[in-house]
Amino acid sequence: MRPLTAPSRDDFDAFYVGEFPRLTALAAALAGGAVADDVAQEAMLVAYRRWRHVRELDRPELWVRRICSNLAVSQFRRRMIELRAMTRLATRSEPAFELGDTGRALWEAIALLPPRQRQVAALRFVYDMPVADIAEILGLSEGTVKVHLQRARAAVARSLGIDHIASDGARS
Amino acid sequence: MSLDELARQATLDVVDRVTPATRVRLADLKVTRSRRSRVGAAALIAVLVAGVAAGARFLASDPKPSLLPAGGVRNGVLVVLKGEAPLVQRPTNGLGSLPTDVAPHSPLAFTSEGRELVYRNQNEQYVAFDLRTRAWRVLHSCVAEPECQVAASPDGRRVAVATGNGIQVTDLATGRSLPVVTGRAYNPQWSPMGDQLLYSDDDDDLSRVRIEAGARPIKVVTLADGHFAVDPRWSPDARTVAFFDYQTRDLRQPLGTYTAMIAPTNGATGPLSLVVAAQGCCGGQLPPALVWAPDGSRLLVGDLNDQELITAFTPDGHRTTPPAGISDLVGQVAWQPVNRP
Repeated sequence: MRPLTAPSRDDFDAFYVGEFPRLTALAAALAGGAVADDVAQEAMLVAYRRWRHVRELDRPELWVRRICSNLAVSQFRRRMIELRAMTRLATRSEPAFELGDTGRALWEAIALLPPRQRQVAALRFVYDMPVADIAEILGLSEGTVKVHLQRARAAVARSLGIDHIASDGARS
Repeated sequence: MSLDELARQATLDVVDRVTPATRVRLADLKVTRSRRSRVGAAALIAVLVAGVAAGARFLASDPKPSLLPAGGVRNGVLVVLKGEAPLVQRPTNGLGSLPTDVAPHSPLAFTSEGRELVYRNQNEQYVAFDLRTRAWRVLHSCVAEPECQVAASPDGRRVAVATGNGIQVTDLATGRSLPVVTGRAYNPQWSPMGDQLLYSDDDDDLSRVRIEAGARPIKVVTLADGHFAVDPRWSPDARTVAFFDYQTRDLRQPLGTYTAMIAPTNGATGPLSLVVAAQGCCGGQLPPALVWAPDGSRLLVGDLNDQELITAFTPDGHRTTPPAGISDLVGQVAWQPVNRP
């Protein structure tokens, strides 16, 4: 039986350091570079508040990616994040994060997708995530994820003028 | 280069840019959390002490309050929440001390008799604070659902909960829930009689639905592409809805305009534009304040520009004078109804 101790914040620190950079990439794909840092931070803040519960999950990283995915496409919640982002930006001398040229066209193409396709595509591209995990995060069937992914890949590839056949066909 | 290879490189580019600042952002997160929870902890202690002193108890059942008292309603105190600042009262502090554990940008509402103030606290719970007993009761917890929005019925006995996947109405006494809307739906607002819900629908328009099994939603307002109906408010006589038309070319960019609108709830005519409450600015800010006077005499619209702080309209959309003693109206607002004897 696990001894009764207060939840350690040390393991949250390790979780944050390991997860935050790629979570920011997910937020960038879903909400754009201007608010990516704040969306990712907001998702981590939710995890931090609930860490006693989240740390007991089998895969807390999937939980926080779900939170980030939902925050990024939720117009209501994102407006709240934008407000805080604008307040912080007003006092910063330099922007916290900017998208580089590498992949800018990719993120912009993903941003044009319908919300669900955008979420599926972003999770796949940022994490190379299996269909089963994407389905678990978004609460969809694997079949539905596959359809969204196929359409998203085709649309993004068409937009960029490149080949969209998966390099690992078995995982699609 | 294949799509997958491009995605890998693009992701690594972001990771490389973000990683050097990760520990700084972790420190930022803890500061933010500490600041928000300090206020909440102090407030909790204060309210607990007040509750014990007053012999506080959780409200179980009270005689059913009348929604339409015979003598009519007059306008009480306005309560305003501006961002992360404490609640303030206008024009007087007639309500006594108010809770200080209100979450930033929390929605505010009074129950129909003006006895309870409903808000979201810093523990992600929607609570009703009784202004007489100084006690509160938890209506719904949003800990597990970060997207959830909760609205209490006018009598305070039910809650409408929107989670991004539909809206359910729950009877707080029995715990029974009724799904009334499926699919994406936001900003639930109870009608004054507690028999319907108004909400922002999947098309970002406004719809209403009766609170009964099998009821079909009815469109109230339809807006063009690039326009979003937000923060709807029933008029006290339920004949009109006020809302903001948020217009933006790109939701990812923090630029847009809010235009206050009114429309009949029966859809007899299209919405009427009242005033551009925030023009060419906003920076992604939340909507300006929007509140009906409890006696139904006027609608107050706040502003995000500095030129004009409050604009008042009659229910049919004509300008009128704001109430005396209220000089600004920014953020979330609730106006207490006071029943005439």
